[in-house]
Amino acid sequence: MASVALPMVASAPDSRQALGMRLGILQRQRSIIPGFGVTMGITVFALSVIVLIPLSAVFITSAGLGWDGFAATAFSRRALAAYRLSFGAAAAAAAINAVFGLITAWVLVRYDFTGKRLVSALVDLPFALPTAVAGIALTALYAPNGWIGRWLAPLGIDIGFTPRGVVVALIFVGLPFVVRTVEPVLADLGADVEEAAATLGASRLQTFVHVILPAISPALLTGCALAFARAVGEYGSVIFIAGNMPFRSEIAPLLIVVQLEQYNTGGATAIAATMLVISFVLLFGINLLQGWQRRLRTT
Amino acid sequence: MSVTATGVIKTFGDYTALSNVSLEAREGEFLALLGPSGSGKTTLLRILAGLEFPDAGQILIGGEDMAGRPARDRRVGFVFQQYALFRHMTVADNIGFGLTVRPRGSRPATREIARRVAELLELVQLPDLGRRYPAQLSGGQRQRVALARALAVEPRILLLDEPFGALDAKVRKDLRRWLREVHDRTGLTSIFVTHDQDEALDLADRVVVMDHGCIEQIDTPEALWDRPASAFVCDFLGGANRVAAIASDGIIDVGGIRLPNHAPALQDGPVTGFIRPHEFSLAAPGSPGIPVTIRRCLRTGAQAALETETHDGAIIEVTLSEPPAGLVPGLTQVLVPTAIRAYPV
Repeated sequence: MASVALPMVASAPDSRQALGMRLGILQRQRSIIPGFGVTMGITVFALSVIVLIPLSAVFITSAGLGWDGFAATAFSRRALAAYRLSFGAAAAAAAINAVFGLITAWVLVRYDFTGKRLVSALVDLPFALPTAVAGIALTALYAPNGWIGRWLAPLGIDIGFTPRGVVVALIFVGLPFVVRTVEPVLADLGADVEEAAATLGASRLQTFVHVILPAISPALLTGCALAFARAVGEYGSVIFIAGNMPFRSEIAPLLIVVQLEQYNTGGATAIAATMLVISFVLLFGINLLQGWQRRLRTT
Repeated sequence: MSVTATGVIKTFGDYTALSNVSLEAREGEFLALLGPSGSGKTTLLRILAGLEFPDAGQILIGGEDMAGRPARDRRVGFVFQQYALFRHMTVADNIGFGLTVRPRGSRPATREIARRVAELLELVQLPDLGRRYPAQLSGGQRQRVALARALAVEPRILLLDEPFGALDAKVRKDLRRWLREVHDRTGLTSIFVTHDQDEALDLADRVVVMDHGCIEQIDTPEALWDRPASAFVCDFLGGANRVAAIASDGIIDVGGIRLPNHAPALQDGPVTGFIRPHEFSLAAPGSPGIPVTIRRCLRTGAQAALETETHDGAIIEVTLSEPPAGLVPGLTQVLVPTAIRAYPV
C-alpha cells in the first residue's frame, strides 16, 4: 500500500509545478516564514521611495535643459576633466586597495598576534569616521607643509592639492570594503589547500597564483567594486586634500555642488545624471564579470 | 623507501605534542599511527611531510636527512582529512597540478600530463569524472581524487591523515579495502593516521600506538591484540573489561580464580586486569570467580551478549558462544575468567 501511495504524493506537486511553468505562473516556494506578498510589497515601496524616485527626478530635472543645454554643462571641458579624475582616481584607488586590502585580510585571517582585534577595529574606522575628519587629517599630513608632505615635497612628489591626493583619500575610504569582503572567503579557504599545493611541489608564488588567487578572486572583485563605487561618490574626505583646481584636481561631485551654489540646479542634475549613467554601466559590467566567474566554476 | 624518525620532539608553547618519538617504516610497509586525539599522531605525520618542523630529532626518508627541507622538496604524497582539493579546478586539473607546477626543465608535456591523469583516474576508479569539479563529487570520490593527486607526483612515500575520517561507515569500509589494494599495487611505503582501532588493525602491516606524545607500542596487529604492552594499549584496542586483581609470582588472582598473565611481567600486589568479553564462562552462584547479576541479555543466533553488574556496580560485558538456557535479567551468576592481561594499577 505504502509503495503505491508514495509516488502519488510525490507526483502531485510535480505536476502542479509543471502546469504552473506551462502557464507562466510565478511559482512560490514554500517558506518557513510566510508573507511573500507583504515583504515584496515593502521592498518595492522602499526601493521606490528611497532609490528609484530620487534617481528619476535627476533625469526629469536634467531633461528640462533640452539636449543642447544638457550637453553644454554635462560635456563641458571642465566636467569631462572632473569625470576623468573621479572615475580614474576611484579606479586607481580600488586597484591599490585590492593589493593592500588582500594583504591586510591575509594577516588578519592567517596570523595570531597581540593587538589583532585593535588592527581589525582600525580597518573599520574609515567606515565610521565622518569623511570630513578624514579629509582634514589627510590634508594635515600630506599638504606641502604637513608631516609627511614636508619630506616628500623636496623629492618633487606633491600629494596634497593634486590628483594624487585625491587617490590617497579614496584609498583611505575604500580599504575596509576589500578587507571585509575578502576576509571570510580567505578564512573559508583554509590553510590545508596551501599545504596540499606545497606537498605537490608548488612554490609560494605558484601556490598564490594558481590556488589562492582563483579561489578568492570573486570576493576580491566584489570588494574592489564596492570600494570603487564608494570612491566615485566620495565627497567629504576628498575636497580638503584635492585643492579643487578646475581641470586638475576637481572631482565631479564637487562640480555638482559648485553648480548648486550658483543656483544652477539644471546643470547640477545634468552632471549628476551623466555620473549616474557611467556608474550604472560600470557596476553592471562588474556584475556581468562576477556572473561569468561564478559560471566558470559551477559548470 | 624507508622512513626513520629518531628522537623527535615537538612543542607548541607549553604543550608537548611529541616527546622523544622514534619509529621506522620499512620499505613498502603500510604503517598505522593509532591513538586518541591529542596523542601527537597527526603532528608526527606533518613533521614527516615537512609541514611542521621538529624542535629536536632527525627524520630520514630513504636514508636522506630531511632537516630544513620544506614540504615542496620532499617528494612526499600527502592526503588530507578534509581532502583539500582545489575547488576552482576540475578533477583532472587537480590531479595534474603537481606536474604542471614543475619547473620548465622537468615538466612533462601537456599531452604526457593528460595521459598520466587518465591513468590515475583509472587507478582510483573514476575514469569518466575528469571534467567534473570537486563540488560535484561525493565524499568518497573526493578522497580518491585527493589520493590520485598525491600519487601523480610519483612520491617517495605516501602519508595519509585520517583519510576516512569524514566519510560514513559503509564508504569507509569500501575505501579501506581499496586503499590496501592501491598500496599493494604501487608498493609505496605508506603511513596513515587514524583513531579507529578497527581500521588500524585491519589495514596496517604494523601499528604504532601513541598516547600523550609518546609511542606506547609498535607491533603487528596480531601481536598488538595478543600482547598489548600497556594498560593504555589494551584499553584503547577496545572491548576489554577492567577488573581488580592480585598478582603473586606471575600468577593473577581474580576472585579466587588463578590465571597466568598474558602481559609483561609484574611486581606482586594489586593490579588492573583486562578480560575480553569472550574470555569468560559461567558458573553457579557460590563457586569461585566474579559474582554478578545479569542486567541484559541479547541473543543473536547461537551467541549471547550479556551485560552484567558486579556487587560494587561495575559493568562487565560478556559474550558466550554456547549460552545455557534461562539467562534472564536479574539472575545471579558467577563469571569465571579464562584468560587475563594484567598491568600495574
